[in-house]
Amino acid sequence: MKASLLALGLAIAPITVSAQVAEPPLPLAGAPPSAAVCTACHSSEMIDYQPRLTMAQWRATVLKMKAAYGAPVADKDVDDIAKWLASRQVNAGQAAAGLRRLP
Amino acid sequence: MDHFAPSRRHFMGLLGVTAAAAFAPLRATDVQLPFDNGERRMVDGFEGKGQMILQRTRAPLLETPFEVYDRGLITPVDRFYVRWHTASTPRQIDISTFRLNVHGHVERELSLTLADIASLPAREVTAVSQCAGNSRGLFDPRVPGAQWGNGAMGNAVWRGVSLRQVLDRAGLKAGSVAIRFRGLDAAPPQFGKSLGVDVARNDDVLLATHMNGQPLPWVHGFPLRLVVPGWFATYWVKTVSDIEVLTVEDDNYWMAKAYRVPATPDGNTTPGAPAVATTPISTMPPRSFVTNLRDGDRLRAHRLQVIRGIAFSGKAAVRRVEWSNDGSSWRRCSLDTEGGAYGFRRWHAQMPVGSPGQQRLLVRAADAAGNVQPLTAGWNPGGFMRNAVESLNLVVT
Repeated sequence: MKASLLALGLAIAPITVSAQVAEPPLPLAGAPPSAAVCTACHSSEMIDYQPRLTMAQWRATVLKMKAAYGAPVADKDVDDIAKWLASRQVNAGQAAAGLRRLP
Repeated sequence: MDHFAPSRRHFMGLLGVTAAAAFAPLRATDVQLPFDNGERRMVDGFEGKGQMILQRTRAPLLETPFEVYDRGLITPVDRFYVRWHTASTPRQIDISTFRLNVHGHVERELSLTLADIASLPAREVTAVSQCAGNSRGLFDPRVPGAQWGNGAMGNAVWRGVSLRQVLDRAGLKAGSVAIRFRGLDAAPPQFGKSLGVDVARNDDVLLATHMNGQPLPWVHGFPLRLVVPGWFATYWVKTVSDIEVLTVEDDNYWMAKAYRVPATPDGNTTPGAPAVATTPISTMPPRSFVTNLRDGDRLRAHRLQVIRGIAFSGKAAVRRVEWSNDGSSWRRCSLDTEGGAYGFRRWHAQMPVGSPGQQRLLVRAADAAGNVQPLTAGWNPGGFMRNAVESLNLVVT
């Protein structure tokens, strides 16, 4: 049994310590307090790297996080979070527009 | 199983090496993917990887820089893309207590150790793993989700045992419809994917323990991951620990709600059109890429330029690859025989470079089942299954 595990190369569990990347914080300036929940399950790049989404798309995203993934968002907070996500993206879009495009 | 546990000395030795890596300076540079808001950090050393495009720190989404595909048929493990769904990534697994449980509509329930699995006949398959949402950032109009460039794909040699070996030991009862696989990432909605019985019983569907000769790193699903050659990687369940034989179609979230495409012939629909019936995503349509030239590269006029790249299809073996400067007249590329039906295939050709100005280069693949890449990109709300003909704009000087 040991030999077969060794043959598989599985006798030693992989050690998972590795260089860590500092997670960019989600700037919460102007955010409703309920928005802090957004980064409970994922880092903030998931928000910042989205294309410019409409308010309806952001609202659908918040509702999906709530309904499918169990994000503890109260019904009354859904619109506030979606509005904030949409509003901060206007700034992100302006910043991105100034970036050089690589081939 | 105690005597199989790693010795403390060995454990500490490994820890010493990797702890040093943890404090090594991390190089981070910026890259721009070819779409709006496509600036990303390139990181080196994150999660045991080499240089990768950081799409998300937690749960990790790492994209393979495209130049890697020009270096060889096989994508190195440390440059292979990474995709996890939820924050419950299983980084620590006790291999002495790990079990693969097989239950549901079976003659005999099984609870297999890794040694049990290792005692089954080994099988090796070279196959492309491609995220269903690879290239999502290129969708027009854009859709929410992980904003990948073209680097959420890779080709590896997978080794393990045929899933069929395990299913046959359990014995599927008459009336089995689907087989559901779950892993150790247990955050709700718990990840699970299902295959029809016929697909699951193909000998090339593996419970893999190794990729490219190395034990799977945790980011790729240690100690066991499903490999479903030809199918999008959403089915390649990582850290597989539970197999359930179902008598009805699987209604879990990841089959019934997520990873679905319009039930149209090409899986696409029109932006803004009313919602259409959908079906679970399945096999990969053909794709091909130029790997030795990039958009915007400069070429010398009136020369012959070597062009080369990769092609693959999950629906049937790649049969031909062609290149074109205008999208209407196509010339055949030489297709290497190496690679197998499920892996990347290398192709190459000599392209005459014209007079100074712009020169387009398009490349398309067709497979043995007659599937050909379309000239114009389709669209679906999930941003899945992009396979349009790629085109480069080259500058001739």
